[in-house]
Amino acid sequence: VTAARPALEAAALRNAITLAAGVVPHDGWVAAVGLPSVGVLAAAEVGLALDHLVFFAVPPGQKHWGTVSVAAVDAFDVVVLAVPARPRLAEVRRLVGRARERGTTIIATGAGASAWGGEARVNTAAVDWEGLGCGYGTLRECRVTIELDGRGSVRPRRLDLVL
Amino acid sequence: MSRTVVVWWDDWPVVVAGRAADSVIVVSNNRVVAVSAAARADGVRVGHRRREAQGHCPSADVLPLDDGDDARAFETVVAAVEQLCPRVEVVRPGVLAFASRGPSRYFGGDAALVAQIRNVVCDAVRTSLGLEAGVGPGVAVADGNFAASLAARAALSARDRVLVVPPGKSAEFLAPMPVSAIGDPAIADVARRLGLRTLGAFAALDASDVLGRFGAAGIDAHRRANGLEVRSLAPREPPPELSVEVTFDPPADNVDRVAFAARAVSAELAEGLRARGLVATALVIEVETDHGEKRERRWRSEGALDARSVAERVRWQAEGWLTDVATKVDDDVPTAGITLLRLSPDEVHEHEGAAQSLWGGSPEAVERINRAVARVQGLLGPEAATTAVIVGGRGPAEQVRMVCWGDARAVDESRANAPWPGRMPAPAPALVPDDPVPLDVLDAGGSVVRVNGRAEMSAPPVTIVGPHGVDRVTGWAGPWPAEERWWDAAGARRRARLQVRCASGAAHLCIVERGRWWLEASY
Repeated sequence: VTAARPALEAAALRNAITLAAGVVPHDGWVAAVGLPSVGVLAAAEVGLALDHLVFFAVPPGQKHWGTVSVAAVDAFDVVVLAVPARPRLAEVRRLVGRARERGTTIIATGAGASAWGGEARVNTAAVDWEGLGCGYGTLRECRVTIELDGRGSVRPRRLDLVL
Repeated sequence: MSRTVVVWWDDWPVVVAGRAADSVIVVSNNRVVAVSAAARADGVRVGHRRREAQGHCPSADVLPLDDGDDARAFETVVAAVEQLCPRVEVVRPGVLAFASRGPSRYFGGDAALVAQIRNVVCDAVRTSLGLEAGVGPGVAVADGNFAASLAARAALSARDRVLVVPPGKSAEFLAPMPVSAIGDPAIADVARRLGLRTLGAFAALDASDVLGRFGAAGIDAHRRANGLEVRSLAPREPPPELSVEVTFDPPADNVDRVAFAARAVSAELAEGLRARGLVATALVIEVETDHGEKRERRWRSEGALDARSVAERVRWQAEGWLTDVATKVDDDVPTAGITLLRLSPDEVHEHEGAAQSLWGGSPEAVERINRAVARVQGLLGPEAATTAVIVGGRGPAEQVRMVCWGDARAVDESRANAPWPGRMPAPAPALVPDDPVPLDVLDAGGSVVRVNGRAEMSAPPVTIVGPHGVDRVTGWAGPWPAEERWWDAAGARRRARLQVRCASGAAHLCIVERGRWWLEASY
């Protein structure tokens, strides 16, 4: 799960794709479900292979979200999932079960991600971009402070990362 | 061994482009795929690199290959030949084949038949399509498909562009041909390095030695070189339950729907064939309309027909039929939507088994992905699953094109790698909305920041008012002007981009056009 305040939505998305690029095996397949606005160039920059990255569009409403997500979880190695606000708990449980059975990694993001009981939670607390002055420079690198929290072996902690 | 006529149109894409008389080269993936006669005279050959071809013939126009257009136009030619001979097989746009036994007796011998066919084909191009025929096709008759294809190519340099290889003389005809014509680049390469320069030399090898060295593919090549039928097993009658069909209710009146359904059923067809250990090398595609009109066409392929190429052929056939209206070649233009599509394998062979590549991706993974995607596409339509290709451009949204899963991912490399002045440097934004979101960029006095024609800002930005409320600007850079298509009155756009960093930590890419600010992307 990656979450953030609405203003830092883009940073949460950046965390999600960076995470996906980190966990996907060589020649593995990544699905992005319900994320029409993810920056494809950024995905390529963090190291995802565009020919192994499939975008699934999900029409609004609960009905299709579950079906599409299950299809993706069944086949792909990593699924980046935009969770709608207030997902049905039964569906979430079904997805988690399938993912465990198949060995798929689910990275949940979006409005309903906070309702998701995943193994680990990555909350984007603060973002700071470097390289930009007042009227000069360009954005160069991004320092992200994340709060890590989770079950089992995951200790709660704060981390500073440079993306 | 069946006598076969092959019509081989070498420069079909050039003819379709209507440029047979000029010096034109048609390029796909940076390789020349077709050459007009004028460019050929300057030394351009099929298979050259684009730059090499332009070096030989600098005045030639370079056109991209358009398979769909070529196939549609070829449909007219096939229909014309079909009025003389039954069971015409289309190999690919520009090449067709049929068995000549019956027609040749009817028209008074092989020589009369090929001359007649050539006239009919050239007439169809001139009158029905209204195009210059140019050099025209090579037409030849020989024993079997392979010999006839090579003969048709050889016929292009003959006097009246027809060639008749007498029955039983195919091996003799093939013997002096270079070994590269064998139809399998890997085998041709090894044979050449072994010192076997001609098909005759390769054919003279012992069949068991060839089998030991090259496997099943080698035996096929050896039989071809000997002028024999490719497959050792006689084609088996395909079991009727292998054919698949799909009905459309309500009738489909656009090609896309048919083509999409074809993708699903052709996967089903391939599955059925594989379960029996068979591959199809010829296929009948039948399309029927609500009013009972029917169009049936046989498609042949040198290798096995896989699901994707079947779907492509369905699209060509349906498009060719539905757009016949303009060409008026035959009267059976459909008057209603398409209700039925049936695919039946017409010729099947035992599958010899293809070795999996040692280092490539695992085929099961790809198949698993294909199945999952097909399920979603079946539910929500083809646009529901897409992949992205980078096509080049300035803005983050313009640089990317989404293609439906299953469509070709080919891109124009030169466009993607062009310098694009005004493009934003890396890193790229992580969030790119489909449509820019309206936004206000304000200066210290609270009025909107303006950018003039010299790309100067009226005042430094201090706050932005966007979808997430008011945010203070802590750093900014730009503006980067992007003046696009200034030569085109309708498509011209003058915009400028601005990177801003906000107190909340977010960083945005803003764009201004005609005094209005938009949020184009967020980092």
